[in-house]
Amino acid sequence: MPSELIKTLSHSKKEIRDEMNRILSSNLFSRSSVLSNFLKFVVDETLEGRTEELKEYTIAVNALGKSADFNPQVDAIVRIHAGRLRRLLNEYYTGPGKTDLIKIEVVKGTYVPVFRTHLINKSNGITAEKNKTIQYSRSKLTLAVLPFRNLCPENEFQFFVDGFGEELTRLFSLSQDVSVVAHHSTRKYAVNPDDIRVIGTELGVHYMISGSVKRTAKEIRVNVELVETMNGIQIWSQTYNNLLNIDNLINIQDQIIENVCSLLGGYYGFIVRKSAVAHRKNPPSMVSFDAALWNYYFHMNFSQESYLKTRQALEEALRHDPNYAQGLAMLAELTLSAYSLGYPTAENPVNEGYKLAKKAIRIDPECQHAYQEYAWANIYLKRREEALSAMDRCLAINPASVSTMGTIGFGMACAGEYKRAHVLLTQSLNLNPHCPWWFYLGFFLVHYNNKQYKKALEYANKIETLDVFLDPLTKAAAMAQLGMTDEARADVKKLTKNFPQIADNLKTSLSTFLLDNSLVDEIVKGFNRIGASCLMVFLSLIE
Amino acid sequence: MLKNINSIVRIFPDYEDKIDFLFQTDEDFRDLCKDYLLCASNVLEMKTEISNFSAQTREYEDLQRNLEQEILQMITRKE
Repeated sequence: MPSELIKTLSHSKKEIRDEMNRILSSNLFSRSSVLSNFLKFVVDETLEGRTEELKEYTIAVNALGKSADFNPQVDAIVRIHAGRLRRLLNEYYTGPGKTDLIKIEVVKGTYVPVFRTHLINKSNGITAEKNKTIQYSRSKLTLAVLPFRNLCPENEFQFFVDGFGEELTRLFSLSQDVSVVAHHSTRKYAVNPDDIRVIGTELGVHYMISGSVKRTAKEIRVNVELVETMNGIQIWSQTYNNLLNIDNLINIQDQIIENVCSLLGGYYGFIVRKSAVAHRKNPPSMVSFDAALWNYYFHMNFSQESYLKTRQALEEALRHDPNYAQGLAMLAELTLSAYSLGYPTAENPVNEGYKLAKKAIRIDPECQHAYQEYAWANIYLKRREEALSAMDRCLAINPASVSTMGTIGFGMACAGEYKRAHVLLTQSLNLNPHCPWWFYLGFFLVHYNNKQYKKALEYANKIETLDVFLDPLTKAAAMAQLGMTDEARADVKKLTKNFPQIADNLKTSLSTFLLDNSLVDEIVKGFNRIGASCLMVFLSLIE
Repeated sequence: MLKNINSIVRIFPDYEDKIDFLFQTDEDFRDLCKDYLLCASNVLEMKTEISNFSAQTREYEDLQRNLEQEILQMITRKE
């Protein structure tokens, strides 16, 4: 008779989650964040009844941190990790988990885990002993400050490095909004660094501050990070560079600590705000994920077909979670894009987009995408100053985001801020040459405004999108200014044939998103010049 | 199949008999070897495309080392 009998039974979600947490807290799993994330994702999705979504792609993107363009046809990483996960689970159940009452398995051929009762043959004298999992206190937000790492040569300035843990703990202990674990209890992690989620479980804290100190010949650099312990995700970081002056180190430390505490602590600090937003949010769902993917796809081509599908997916996601801030921002963007592209949309699309973006900001004041759309709504409403202010806020939230840089660059061009537009668009393209067509439109606007028509045409030629009137319009207008009348006729024809309503109301259409009237007049003038010439040719032919 | 065994034997020449035995009898071991070979061929392919030598290549290299370690553990544990 085998020493253990396994049979399939149903278990409560809580029992299964407890078992998963036991596995994740084990030494075997805490060594591998990849396999821990993999297991957590497949178990969570299964418990939420979303087994149909458990495909290589969703696992790669959601659990392994792969980018949205991950292609399971050419990248076998999920399959390989799945094999590792199966083997590690086997090892767990023959070692530290041999007395666990539930067995989680990832069977070959599927990514959907199976939960079985793991019966122990008591005649072997084995007694089930459950690992204890510390429960998070929900009565107050809790924080621990880990000892900072000393990355200076030969561990010099150790007193300075140690001071961060002690002083940050002391200052946070004065806060009424956050409880902080005594520094004495966290000191052991300086010599025994572990997965942040494991430490978080041991200490029972929601957030953890960690950091490091390093130096060059002239500077001392302190990095401070805030991590959410439930998922191990870093949610905030800051780097402080100071001139290295041994006599001034304590002052430097005081300034850094004061800055960290003022940014993170307090009623309006990052920790409280983040927790309030997280509390309001439903767990991210596959519906939201699908909607986001559709939205990315729409931005690749801007076609009417992908627009309609994206709209449907986003509306579905928001029905599922009305407080999905990113989804609200995407829907605002979609509504406004449809308005400028002439697609069927809400009755009053600009106001609708404005309201959606505003709601998204209210739900999540750190939602960069929401500020971006708030800026666009203001452009459509001809509120230039408000638009520029929202664009500045958007950039400030994450100045390193290359795509935002380009998008705001385009927005600045539409608002008539050509110099800043050019700088942002150039920076964005230098950092990532793969960009949507409207980045080129931004360059076109800048150069056309500067009467650099050759350059403008160069960028107009890069706008290759079939479904948008701006493609033939920009080419025709630039060619007209360069006197290339014959070459421009094909684009004029394309515009008048494919977009007759827009061609008849060109100025109105352009004025919806361009705030600089003189630029609009110049573009229309260029286009009309060719249009008139086409008409002359046509008249001469019928004569 | 023989070619696959030889690739694994080349990494652990001292365990040729054991590898051969496990390959014939242990499905887990065969799966592990298949994963290892898939990973190794991906690393090779990535390295031939210089432009692609990136975080992804490093990730696969780390993975290859981990799988190699797993193979060794399996061979020695079941010995």
